[in-house]
Amino acid sequence: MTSQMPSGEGASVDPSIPKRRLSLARLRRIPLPVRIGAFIVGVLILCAIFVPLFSADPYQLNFANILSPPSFAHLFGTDENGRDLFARIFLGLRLDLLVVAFVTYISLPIGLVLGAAGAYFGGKYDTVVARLTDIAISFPFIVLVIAIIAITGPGLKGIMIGVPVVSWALYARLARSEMLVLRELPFMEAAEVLGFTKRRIIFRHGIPNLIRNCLVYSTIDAMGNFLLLAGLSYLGIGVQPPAAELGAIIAEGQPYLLQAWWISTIPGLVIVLFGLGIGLIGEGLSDSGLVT
Amino acid sequence: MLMYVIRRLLFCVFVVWALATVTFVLVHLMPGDPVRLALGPRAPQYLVNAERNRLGFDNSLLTQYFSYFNKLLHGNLGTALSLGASVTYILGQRVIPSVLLISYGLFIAVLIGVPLAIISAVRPNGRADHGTRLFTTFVFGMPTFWLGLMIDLFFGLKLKWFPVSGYSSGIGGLFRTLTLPALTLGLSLVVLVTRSLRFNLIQVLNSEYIEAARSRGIAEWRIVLIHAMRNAVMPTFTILSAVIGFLIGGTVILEQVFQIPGVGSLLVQAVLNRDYSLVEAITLLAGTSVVVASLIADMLQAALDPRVRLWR
Repeated sequence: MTSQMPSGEGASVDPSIPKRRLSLARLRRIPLPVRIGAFIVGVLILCAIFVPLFSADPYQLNFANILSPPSFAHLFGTDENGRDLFARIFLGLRLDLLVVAFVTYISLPIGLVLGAAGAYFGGKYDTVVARLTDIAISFPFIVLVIAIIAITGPGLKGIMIGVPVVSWALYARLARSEMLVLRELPFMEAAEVLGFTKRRIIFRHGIPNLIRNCLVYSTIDAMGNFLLLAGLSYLGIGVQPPAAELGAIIAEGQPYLLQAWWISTIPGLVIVLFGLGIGLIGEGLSDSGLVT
Repeated sequence: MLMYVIRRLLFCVFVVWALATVTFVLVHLMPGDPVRLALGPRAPQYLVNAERNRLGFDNSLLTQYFSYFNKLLHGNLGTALSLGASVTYILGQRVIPSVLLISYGLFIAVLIGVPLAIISAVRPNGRADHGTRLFTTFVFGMPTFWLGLMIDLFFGLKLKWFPVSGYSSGIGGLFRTLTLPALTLGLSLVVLVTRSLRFNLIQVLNSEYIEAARSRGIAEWRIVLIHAMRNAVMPTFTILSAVIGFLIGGTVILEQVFQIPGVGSLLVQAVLNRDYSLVEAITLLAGTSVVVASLIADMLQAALDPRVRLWR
């Protein structure tokens, strides 16, 4: 965390100071693992966006060409219905990433604001937030999400409701613990003395200084949500067929594990690659001391 | 001390109550008739009505809520409509395989994770350290069901060392059927063990009492394995014991891959059959195990490490 001293470097939240430009020299200072990780994640995201636009139809059945191994015509082979796996896998990745981005980045602002405001105001409100956080963290995450799916029926709705119900709490806890420290710093007192509104102090001066750790944590959280989504779809209670989703494709390929290894193996490798990228980013950032 | 334990216990009760209420409200808000679902679409209406009456679905929501808690406090979790047996009985049967799988998995995680953590902490940023960290980063993003499938493909289908899936009791049967799932679970937990133990071990190895031990000429392996480990394992131990709670029911996906009749596969079955009393009961069981495990973790930590004072 950048320390906020009244003199010296100047607070990064001060709008009068121009934002530092993204230069090659600054880019070099980013640790190597983070750069590699960002590259992997970036390439996969680009593939997820663009491959389905140009590839074969992912829903096109072709019973003359089932279970064919990877070749130039079908880069990742075809599945038991003759559908092109290259197209299906990246379409599935696109769906996964969209859902994961939704559930992760809807929880983050909720937790962030609740936690930061709780720590800033203190007193009864803080106690309520802290207790609610404790309770939500004590909920058995996977089981609760599945229980919600039991009620909403198999599909994405259960995940989109169930995940944010619990995962805001971790951001709230992170933001709260940082705000408790931040609150006592001179620049926050200065903001108060200047008579800024509470809303302005929290949103303009508090949150910009504590959002960084939450953002870094959110990459790991997103990976967890990705695995959960793929896992639930694997179980058959997440994304429903014929929609393409990585976990569902792995489940579809399971009976053909010996005849057609590529159906289950390749989507798994895509998930592993994505996880590797996220892991490298997270590990590199926490190692370099960029985040506390 | 006593006050602290009481406060924590009250919190546990509160969490379980909150969870029970949340699931109760969710289940009763949803549309559709669970009795109709259980009896099938061709059951005559008078039978459905009688059954509804018997199970108390006709009472007001508040009455149902109180009677639900009344039964809960007497240890009665209701009847699993889809299986036609009492929930307590079914759960009792299903808990054992899950618990065995989890303990076996933890054992493997410690068996692999601790040596890895030690070799990587002894020389931070050395070659072994980089290898270990690459390995854990790699495993971190692996879906457990996919890892399970790959392990299955290799040890089950290609080498034929272990059966691909299933479950049988008895020591030999358990070893044969649980080794592959436990290996999968263990590998996914290795990340947790290695990361936290490595971090703490590096910190402890830099402390002054280790310096003092070195200057007394104690062998390096003794310093690492005995003097440093004693202080470094505590946080890992705490994390693991807290994780156990999340694993009850959290091994859903793994149990489904290997067809183990545990709590997790029961949960999936219950969801697909829309058996709400079963879903409610498993959610409660999982929640209870989470809070109890974290309570025990804190207590153990305080009991084993004199520096930890939870009460002040």
